[in-house]
Amino acid sequence: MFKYLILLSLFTFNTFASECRQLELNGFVSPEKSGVMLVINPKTKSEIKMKFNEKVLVKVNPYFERQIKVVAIINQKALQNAEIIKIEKIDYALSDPLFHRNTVKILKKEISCK
Amino acid sequence: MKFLIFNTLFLLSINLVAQERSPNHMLVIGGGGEPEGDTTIFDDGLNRLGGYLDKNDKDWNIGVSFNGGHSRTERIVEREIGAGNTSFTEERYNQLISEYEQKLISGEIQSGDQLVLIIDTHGAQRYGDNRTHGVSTASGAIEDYDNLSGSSIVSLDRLQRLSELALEKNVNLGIVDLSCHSGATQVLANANTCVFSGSGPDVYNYADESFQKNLRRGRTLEDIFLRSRKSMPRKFSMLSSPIGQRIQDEIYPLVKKYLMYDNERVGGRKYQNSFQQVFEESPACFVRQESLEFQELMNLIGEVEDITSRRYRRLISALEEYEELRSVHRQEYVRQANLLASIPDEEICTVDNYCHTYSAKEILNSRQSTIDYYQNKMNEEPSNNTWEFNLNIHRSIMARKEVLIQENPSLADLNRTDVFHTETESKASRVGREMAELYDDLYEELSEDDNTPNPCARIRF
Repeated sequence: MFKYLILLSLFTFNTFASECRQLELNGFVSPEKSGVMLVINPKTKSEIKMKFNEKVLVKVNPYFERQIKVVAIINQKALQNAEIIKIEKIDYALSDPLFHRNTVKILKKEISCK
Repeated sequence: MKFLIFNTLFLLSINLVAQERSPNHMLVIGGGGEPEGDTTIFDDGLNRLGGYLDKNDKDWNIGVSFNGGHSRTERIVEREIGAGNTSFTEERYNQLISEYEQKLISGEIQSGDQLVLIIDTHGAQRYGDNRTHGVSTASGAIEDYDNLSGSSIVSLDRLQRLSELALEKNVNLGIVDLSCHSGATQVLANANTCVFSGSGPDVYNYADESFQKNLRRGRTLEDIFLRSRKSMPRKFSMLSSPIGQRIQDEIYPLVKKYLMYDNERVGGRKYQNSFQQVFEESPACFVRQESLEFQELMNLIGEVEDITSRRYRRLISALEEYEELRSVHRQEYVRQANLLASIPDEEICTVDNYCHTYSAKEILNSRQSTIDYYQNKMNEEPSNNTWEFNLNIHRSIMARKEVLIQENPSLADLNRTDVFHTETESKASRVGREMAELYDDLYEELSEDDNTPNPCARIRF
């Protein structure tokens, strides 16, 4: 009985884990061998690559090889190599390679991953 | 007896050679802020620095504190820079700088020697009371590339005393800051300290390893700077030589005003919300607002040009073309919004009745190459149903696109948006080239009559 209580509490803890973040991102949709990526600040030392989860690709398909602005949930705190697990809003955006303005905006630092 | 004398002389000569000191000292630090893994973005730069040191390491007394936690990067450091690497933590950073300050005070690093400090890590914008800026240490991975939150940070203000000691003790100090926003470090310069910044204080640096690529025996820090800035001039790298400072003081505020103009106008990050909001509510107003702001900028540049020189015209022309192109792109999106306003969103379904809603804009901007991508993925991973699913739904989108264009042929040219990215990149490259030529012209012209002592010409590799 005690073991079951421990298992239940661990399950509950995981359910309420808030490892995810909500961000507004401006980047380029790049279909690559490893998957469909969002590339932010390309070629700079602050280049960030995130991968679109396969479940969200249905929303991303019209945006291949386009600059986009997207409100999304990622699956971890660190930006680099994060996975985009949910898309809340997406639209075409203008490229600005001279100065990478406003490419990452943190909307919610911690959010449920569900 | 002869044998004894010969032996003594032989041993004495070996001892003298062993004790011959090098006047060149190098400290390499950084490698922080990266996510978990075996490698970091600094690996290529380390390999290139190693390429120079392979042939020249005997000339340098080398210290290193780099990374910590990325096994491949650490192996590269050990192999290319030298043994004795320590993790680049805040504690180690402070210890090392104190050690080197002590070396200058004690005379271990003597008058006339040179000390080169290479900093290759992530850098934040200048903020708060910092005179310079913060850079990442080994702890933590970055969550925001402007303020480096998520990563542990140390301030390069800590180098101020080292710079002052270099002046006091007549040591030639070169600070090579290759991080983003490194133009903030220029304030550490003095008559004996040369600061090489990989980028301007408000811009990201590029991962082009241009400093390391241009390291050659005999070149001065000034030589390396003038060569390396050509590879990506739009990052606006800076050198604290007397001429470099004059040019930067003249050009950078001008370019910065252009680079930052929409941020300053509407209060920084708030612009992002206002962009989308204004665009959605009133696309025409948005376009007019941006045009007015740009004209104010051009008026400012015009005033500066009267005071300075005709050579700004090519740079201004390049900036105007870049902005004109972006304006054309904005206009195209406005045109699309107006044209498509009457066409409702559509539900696109696959043959097995999975449906998803797409806007007319999304349908009409969709591309054949998306189908090609999924076809390739299906060939690579035939067991993954995701690829077939997305292939099918995108085929349905393209089929619907064809029908919409047949019904309204004027919709056919909406595909112009697929060239926006490459067109803009091309114009940005031109701005970069004009900036590089302008900088070179000014540097050459001002060098002719300049006799000001230049610490950047005294640091020699």
